[in-house]
Amino acid sequence: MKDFLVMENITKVYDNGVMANDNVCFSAEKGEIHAICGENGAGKSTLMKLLFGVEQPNQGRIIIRGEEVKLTSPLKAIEMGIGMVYQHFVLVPSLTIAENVMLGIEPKKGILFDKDKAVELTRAICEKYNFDIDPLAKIEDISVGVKQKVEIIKALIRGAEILILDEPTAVLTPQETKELFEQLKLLREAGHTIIFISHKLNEVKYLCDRVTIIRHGRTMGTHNVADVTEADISRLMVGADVELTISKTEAKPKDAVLRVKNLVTYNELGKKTLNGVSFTVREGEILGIAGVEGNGQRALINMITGFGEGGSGEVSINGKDIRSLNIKQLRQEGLVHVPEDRNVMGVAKNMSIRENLIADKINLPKYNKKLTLNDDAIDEDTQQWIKDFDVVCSGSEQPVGMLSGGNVQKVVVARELTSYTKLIVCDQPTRGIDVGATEFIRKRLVQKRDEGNAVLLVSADLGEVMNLSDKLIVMYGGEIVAYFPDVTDITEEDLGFYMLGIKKMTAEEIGGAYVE
Amino acid sequence: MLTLSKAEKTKNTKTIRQMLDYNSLSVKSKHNLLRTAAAIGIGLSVALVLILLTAKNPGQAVKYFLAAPFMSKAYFSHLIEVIIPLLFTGSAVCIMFSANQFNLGLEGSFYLGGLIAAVSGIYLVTDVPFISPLVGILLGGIVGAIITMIPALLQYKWNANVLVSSLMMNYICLYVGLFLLFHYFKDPASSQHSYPIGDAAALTSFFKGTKIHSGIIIAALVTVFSYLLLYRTKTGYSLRATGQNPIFAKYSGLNVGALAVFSQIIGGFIGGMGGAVQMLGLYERFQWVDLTNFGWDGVTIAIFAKNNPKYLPLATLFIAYFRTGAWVMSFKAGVQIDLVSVFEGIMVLFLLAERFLAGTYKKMVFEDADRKRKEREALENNMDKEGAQA
Repeated sequence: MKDFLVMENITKVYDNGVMANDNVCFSAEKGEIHAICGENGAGKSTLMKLLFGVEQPNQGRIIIRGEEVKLTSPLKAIEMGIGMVYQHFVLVPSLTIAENVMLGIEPKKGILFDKDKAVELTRAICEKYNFDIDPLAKIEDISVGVKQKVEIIKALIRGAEILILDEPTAVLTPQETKELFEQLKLLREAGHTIIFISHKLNEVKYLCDRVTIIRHGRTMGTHNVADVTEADISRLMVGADVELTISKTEAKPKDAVLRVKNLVTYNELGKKTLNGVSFTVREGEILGIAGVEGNGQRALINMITGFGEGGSGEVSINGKDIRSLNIKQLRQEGLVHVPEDRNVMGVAKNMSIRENLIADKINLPKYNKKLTLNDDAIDEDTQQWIKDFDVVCSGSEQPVGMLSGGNVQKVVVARELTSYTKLIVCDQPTRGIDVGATEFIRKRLVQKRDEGNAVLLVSADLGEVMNLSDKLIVMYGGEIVAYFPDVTDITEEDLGFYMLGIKKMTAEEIGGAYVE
Repeated sequence: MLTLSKAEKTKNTKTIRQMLDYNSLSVKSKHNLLRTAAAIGIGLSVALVLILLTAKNPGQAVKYFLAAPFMSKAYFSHLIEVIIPLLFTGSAVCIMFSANQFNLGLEGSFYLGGLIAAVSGIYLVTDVPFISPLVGILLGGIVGAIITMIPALLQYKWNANVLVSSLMMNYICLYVGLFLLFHYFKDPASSQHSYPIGDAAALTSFFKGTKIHSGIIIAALVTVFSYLLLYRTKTGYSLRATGQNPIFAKYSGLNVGALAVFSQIIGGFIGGMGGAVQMLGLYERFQWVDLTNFGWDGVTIAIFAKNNPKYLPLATLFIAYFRTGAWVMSFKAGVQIDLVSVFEGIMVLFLLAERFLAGTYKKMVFEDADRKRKEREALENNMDKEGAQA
């Protein structure tokens, strides 16, 4: 069907002045899987938010089934048969799958919620689309892969014919990804249109019919996937050939810097978040931690970086017990920390780049005169760091909130790596940022390793942990379930089994992660 | 004909991007001006309508409201009198709000600061020139700091909401003050006045026939101090970082809890000083039987000044100007003085409403980005041409 979905000359400018979509044209047909490719910050998600009515365009038209529509809210979009599956799920953990699916469209018996009917309806739609799930299971008990299925069912039961999936595989293990793809193919056969947002080109190549490429907010054309190679797509996405695999020499580890021994922690509900975790990171090596999010990484990072409380076990830096130190003292020991969420912890958005860069160094004598700050010294150094770390901005006085994600992250990394460093803790250091910034940050980390720092890297990006790490551990259910002293010959598939908790190494093998 | 190599082209696009970096700071400040102007415009319109509706002689009333400070020395003096306490409480609120601490205990600080300064001038150091007012003002500051510190510590130690406890604190201060006044300090010859404050303790007047006193110098110094503290010292930096994002501040190694308490101690000290200066500058006897409202005014002023003491002179002048107008209008043209509160309230409402004129902002941002897009396209075309020519 022609004109099934057309987005015409769409321009969208956000409140911070970023033009996220610049005259974008996009169209999809009925019954196809259409990929939207582009690097982080290129404007893919913005385009989809416009299509789902979350944001409204400044210019341009959206045409669905031959008719121009104004999508002023997600409700309007749902009415038009559009469904969206976000990367971060929006489900109520304490309710069952059926209850989540029916939220807002509950079947009623009189004035009461008809639970049996809800289960029945959910079951029916699962059978129709061949989803193998139990409507009575609670969200808090199911895996990420199943949660995603629930999100898809939620969209389908509301009559979605156009299904938008925003980087659906980013949270999945390789095994779950495979299963998702089979499901999506079935949906295509049933006549649904799927818009698949991704920057994983092998997945696009495997799954999709057509691909539209967006770069810097502009469309770089739509192609049949069969006619283009991964390299072609990549070139269109980035504008140049980018090698994201950082080459590095073999690690030359020396003395241990970070030691974690038998660490046990609990959450507010008294549930164990870490269960006897032990490992060592030495000078001159990068230890990667792989694992599906929510398997204890958060608690572990908190305990090392001074945000954790309670629990038992040992954490030491350079042989010094750090459990009782505050963050200022930890930083004096040479701990620096690139936090998971730059916007929550890494920067103060309304403050200038300069002020953000100096945050952890404000008390250094170098930057203070007797009573006031030494503005000249601060200016000199911050200007230099902005240059060294290639932060694209209009000047050091620009508020950090006005920068793109990649540049915000460069500000965070610049601040941390220009401090006194012994141990560098990186939590998702390149999440959601463009390839240029990603490449830059990864190279810096390797460089810091070569200078003799210990690096602890937590990342949901398997490619990243496997490329950067010298040693690798896998976390599942608050425990270390695998330890690889050598990263060169493991595959993503292998890691997947450990990440899902299907396999577990022997205690002896895992014990290798801790060196006295 | 040579074409640009790919690498060069990428580099060129990058420079263009850097030159035309999407920086909408100017749009934001433009929009801020527009918002402020609109808020003032709406406030003024409402005030004028109310005057027209209630005044017997509207023309005259409006004239007094808009131009009173220029009409006599006494009125101008009143303008300065109003500015002095506002500079104190405005500075205090700027410091506390910059650290995101919504301590509203300044009413209490100001009130008891005034009381202790009077007590000092009546009993403690009554007749040493210079030293007497100095002691009074310092004592006022110390008492003021204690008043705001109590809720601050309650929050720090036991997580008691500082907003609620500081509000309660104000009433504790008032009734403690009244108790002391009526049981110990009241002159039996008077219904509600204390014994007289020693002459040497009073702040000197500058000009004959006006009440402008040396407190204005202290107020100016405090304002400058507040600005320097917040924007030129590491302590001020730490306070603002705590206010902007406490998680970020903690992560950076700052002692967030102590900073929060510290900001409130400083704020209370300045508030207490303000009360003392007000008392020693304008009164011969302590006679406050109610809270003065200057603490609340500090909040209004800080909102106008965007929590930056740099803008306090302008903000206090603005508020004081119309207060003087309303005051004169009230006895010259019989219009209720409360009108000015309506006027101020409306402006504060619109300034605080984050979404006020949000649509206009979106439009302005888009137009700005659209203009930059066109410039960029023109530049790119030129480069292509130049490349082709080369």
